[in-house]
Amino acid sequence: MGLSGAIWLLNDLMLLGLICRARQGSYWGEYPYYFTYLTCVLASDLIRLLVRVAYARAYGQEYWISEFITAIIGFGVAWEVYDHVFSRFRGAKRMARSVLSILLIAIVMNAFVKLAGDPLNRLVPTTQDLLRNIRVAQVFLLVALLSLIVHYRLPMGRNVRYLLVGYGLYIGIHMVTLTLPSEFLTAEGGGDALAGLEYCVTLCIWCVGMWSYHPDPTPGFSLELDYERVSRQTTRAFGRLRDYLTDSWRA
Amino acid sequence: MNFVTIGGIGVVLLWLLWLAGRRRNQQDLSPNREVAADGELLVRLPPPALFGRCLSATDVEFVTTLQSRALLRFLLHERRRLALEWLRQTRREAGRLFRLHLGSVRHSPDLRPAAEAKLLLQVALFMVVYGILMGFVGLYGPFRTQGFVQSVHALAGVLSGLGGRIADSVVPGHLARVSQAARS
Repeated sequence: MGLSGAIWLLNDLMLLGLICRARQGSYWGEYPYYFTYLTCVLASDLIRLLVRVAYARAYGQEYWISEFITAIIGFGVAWEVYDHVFSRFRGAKRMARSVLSILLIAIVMNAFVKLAGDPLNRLVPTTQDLLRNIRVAQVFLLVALLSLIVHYRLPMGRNVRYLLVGYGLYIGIHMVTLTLPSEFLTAEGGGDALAGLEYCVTLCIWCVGMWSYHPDPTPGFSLELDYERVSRQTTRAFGRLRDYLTDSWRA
Repeated sequence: MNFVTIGGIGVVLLWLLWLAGRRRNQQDLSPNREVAADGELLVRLPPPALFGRCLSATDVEFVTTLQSRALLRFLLHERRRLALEWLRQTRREAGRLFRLHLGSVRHSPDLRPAAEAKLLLQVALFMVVYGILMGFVGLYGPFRTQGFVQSVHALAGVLSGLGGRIADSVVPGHLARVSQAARS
């Protein structure tokens, strides 16, 4: 077993540890999409190992199929973040829905424009292209969610914070590695070890943050606020500030 | 998508992760600290005339009569610093207002994306004007900037006057017919 094998073994042990802890601590139900995703990754690793030993010829196909399935299920992690962070902030949730809808429309329109330019060659992209596109969509999704979280300073629990940091790092690095030249990825164990290492870092972060259950922080009060009035006042204040900037120089 | 774009998105993602990770929930859950009370959303800055007095040409004229280049240079340097600090103070006030707004509305269930987008546009416009003025003061100094702003205002006044005269010259009956046609 080489370095790559050792990394994958360590990863699988961490995955198993996380899943067992969630079952033992009864907090699987709190993050169902996330733990389903982890289970899928673990299952795909085990199937991959089995195929490698028993049906070595089919390994390549199986590898890309399982990568594709886990990438799709990976959207569940973003959903988990959205669900936990925005559930207590109805207004911000509405804002997030609008931003995500615009993002989705932009992605779909971009795909249509590309298809219109060269439909024959682009209709069936290579598996690597497809995977990269899925990861790019996930990165945009996370960037949009993170922007809103940072903008409105929404509180996050320890679990969600580590979940987000781990997954963000993983897909960010994975997207960059998918753009590396294919010679590098197909070099003797190079791509495999790199992918394993990326995931190892993510799983270490998750093991720290998801080892036990920490509930989401809840605001213990509800504020009576006239949103219309506050919004109108702030908009007017910014108009005045802009005037002030120029008026100072005219005085 | 090329490597530079992907790298850029990656950097943005990592920066946002860092920003989201460094915050403390204790601070996030204490909105009483930041919710806008009555009158807090008003602009609190010294009157603009005060800045006009800071940039008074009388000081420059007086120093010029002393015929000391070093003193004149020092005066101009200090006036530039003063102007930049004035602008920064305005930006800090903008930051205070924006933070106050966010602290107030993030719990509100009535938050409207369109109103928030409108506000963001106002903030962006403010930042554009602020950036232009900072650039001008940094490059050309406060006195030339003052002249430039006054010329722009004068030009805007002329254009506005022309616009008003054009609008006045349109026959009211014709305008009513056009708006009726547009409605139907």
